[in-house]
Amino acid sequence: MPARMPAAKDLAKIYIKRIEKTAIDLRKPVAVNWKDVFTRFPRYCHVLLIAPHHTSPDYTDYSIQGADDFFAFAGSIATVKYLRDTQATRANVEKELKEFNPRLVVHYDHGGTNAIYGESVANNPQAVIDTANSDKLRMRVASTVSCLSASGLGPDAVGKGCTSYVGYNDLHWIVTSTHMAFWNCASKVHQKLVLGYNTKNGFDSAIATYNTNIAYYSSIGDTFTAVHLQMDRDRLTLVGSQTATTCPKRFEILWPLHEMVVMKKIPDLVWPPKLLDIDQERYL
Amino acid sequence: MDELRKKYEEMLESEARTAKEDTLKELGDYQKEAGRRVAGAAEEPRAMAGPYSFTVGEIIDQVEKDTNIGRDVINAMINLKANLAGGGE
Repeated sequence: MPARMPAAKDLAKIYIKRIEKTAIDLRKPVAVNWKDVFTRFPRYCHVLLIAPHHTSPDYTDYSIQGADDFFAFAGSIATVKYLRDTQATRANVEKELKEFNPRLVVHYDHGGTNAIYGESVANNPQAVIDTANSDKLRMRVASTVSCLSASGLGPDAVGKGCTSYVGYNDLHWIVTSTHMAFWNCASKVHQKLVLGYNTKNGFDSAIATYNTNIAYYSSIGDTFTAVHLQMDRDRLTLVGSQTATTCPKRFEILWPLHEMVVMKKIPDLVWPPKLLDIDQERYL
Repeated sequence: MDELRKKYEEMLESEARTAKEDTLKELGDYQKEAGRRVAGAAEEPRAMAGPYSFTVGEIIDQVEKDTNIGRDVINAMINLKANLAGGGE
């Protein structure tokens, strides 16, 4: 036992002083270092789109059209950085992952079990994200339209902190004459994410679109397309979180909602901001 | 027991043969129809994935040679028929 023990009264005084100090500190305005926050956490609603184009004839002759289509859709909703064609190098991707700091990474190109590819300076496929730098997907959602990567790179990235990874666990097929149907199905995952839905919603929506397209192409006798769509549908894989979101929720305009907006009963925060034909006269 | 196993294996083989023949017939029909429909078109439709690029004829060849890609196509055709028979999912 120490020689000089403080009396209980003195201990109480120290305790009260501590409480007062904490309360005073809490009253001080908190200075948030936003630069630090943006560096540490991926930025919500920021989308990095990677779509190279290698020497023709190649799968990327078509995949870049799918990427352009997605860019046209997402460009007006989210902040999209598009690394197209020769810009999609490994150095650029790593730079943008750090500086642009996207929450969602979308990729259209070739893939392997442990890598997704971009473009080298010599216009050849070059791994832009592989197991060596997959930790750069930490706290991000990745959605890729490429072969194989969901069987190796996806689980590896999720193991290193990637929130969610959507891709294909085997070859991703397209048919050249009907290739837009393949992009329409595959893009559903990231289209839903941009609209504020979660990864499971995006995945389910893609499967439903595959089913619709499979039924359509079978019904018109295009078995060749239907069979390849069927293979892709069965290979679409979601690894990691099923509830991750990347953008704020957007409400698509519905007729009863629109009426309430016109009557000023709910705020005009609906998307897309368009008028229905029936209401045109009212505003003229 | 051996007889049972033999019967089971025969049954599997027969089903695999039927599935393969069915796939070849469906793709053959498509090839004939597509040839008639797109006669004069610039290019024949191709299936592409990674380094692979096949015309319908080449896919039929893959099925006949029983390669991995050919087997994938047969499996997809079986699933396709099963899904459509059930009215889709």
